Amino acid sequence: MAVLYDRHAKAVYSLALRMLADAAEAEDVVQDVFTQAWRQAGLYDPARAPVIGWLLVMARARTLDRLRARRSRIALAGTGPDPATVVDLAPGQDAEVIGREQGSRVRAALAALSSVQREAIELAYYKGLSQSDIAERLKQPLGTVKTRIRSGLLRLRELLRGSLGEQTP
Amino acid sequence: MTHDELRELTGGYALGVLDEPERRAFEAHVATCAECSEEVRELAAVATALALDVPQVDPPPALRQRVLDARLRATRSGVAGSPEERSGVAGSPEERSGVAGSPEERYGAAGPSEAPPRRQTVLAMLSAAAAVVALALGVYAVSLQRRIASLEQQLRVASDRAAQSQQQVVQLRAAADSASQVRRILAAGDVRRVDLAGTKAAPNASGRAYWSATEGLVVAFANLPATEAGKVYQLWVIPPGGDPIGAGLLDLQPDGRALALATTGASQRAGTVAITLEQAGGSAAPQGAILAAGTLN
Repeated sequence: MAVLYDRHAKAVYSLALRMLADAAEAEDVVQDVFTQAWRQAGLYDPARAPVIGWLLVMARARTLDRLRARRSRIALAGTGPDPATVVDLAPGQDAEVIGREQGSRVRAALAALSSVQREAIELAYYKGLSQSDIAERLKQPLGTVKTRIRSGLLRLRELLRGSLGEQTP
Repeated sequence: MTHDELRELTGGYALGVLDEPERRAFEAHVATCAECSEEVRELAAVATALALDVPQVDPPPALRQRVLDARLRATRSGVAGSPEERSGVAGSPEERSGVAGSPEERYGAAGPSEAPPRRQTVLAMLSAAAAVVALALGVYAVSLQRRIASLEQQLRVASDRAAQSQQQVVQLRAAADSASQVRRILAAGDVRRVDLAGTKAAPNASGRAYWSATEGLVVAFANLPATEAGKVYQLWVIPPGGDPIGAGLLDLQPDGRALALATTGASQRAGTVAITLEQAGGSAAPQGAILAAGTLN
């Protein structure tokens, strides 16, 4: 468990922090994820899939739970800032970025998307907004949002496939 | 929704952000569409790779202890060990010696094999996501297979019923056609009535024929003796000076009554109307004795 934590807590924490923009809540997510991982370890087959993918899928799910709870609290209260518009962490805070030196392929691929594709995908993936929520927020027709998300992901697939392909022996 | 409309949803599905009705419609579609299912598998893998595109920030050191403490509490309350522990990974010397320090240091100290390059992580995540989606689709495929089997069974039952209904329709149509022909004969301007009397072989039998040169011939019988197995009553029209013409078989009712509508060729000729007992299927020329007969004048 300690090894699992030491290897992967950073990735889990970073994802939760990026999505929630709240350090305390991100810590809660880390705790939830590793507790859940511990409880469900019997269900997990290491031969099938690497543990990091499993942990991050759980991390996003737990984080989206929190985002949705937050949204419904705000909807009930009818006040306060929309959490989906909370400003992301300032760039200075990723001083310890691993990906920077490593040259994050995913980041490079995302940067290659058109800004409207990237915007739609980020709202969906990191904020967990539904396509109709995104359409409303961006004041775009729903069909346009669907197309942006799909075409953006298809483009990412091509970019990642190329970059992975040339590295594969 | 059309295939093209549903195909637009692969991205939203891969990100898990479809509205509920769309999600259901899409899942129903993707189960039967190889194209969309392949695309959603690939896009789900891409979506998970997005988890890597975040600034990497170390969690506060105190969090490590909190998580591990929570795990210890779980152990004390009797939760089974993780596969990692069972396989001895968690019991590495490093772990047992309780090496302190930041996760970063420990990460580095573990050596290259313990700290996979980021590229491998991307690959790992892509295959992890693909495995998750493949598993889900596999489960769905099995339940779908069962549903197909059950639907096929229902389809077979329904087809059988339809075939039966079809047959009934054919029978009813034939009955309706007969009824309408009988009505036309009875209503024809040239209709003539002929009474048939039973012969010695069937003294109680009687019959009444209505004949119209334009519409045809219909004969109703009563008190016909029951036939032996393999035998059938056959109607004949015998033109004056000619050979008997087979005019069809009688559908004998249990009470000895029968109605015969003569086949078209036979009914155009006037003459004697008679029935004989023949082998099942009828004969080309009468073999048995005449049981009832009457003559049109």
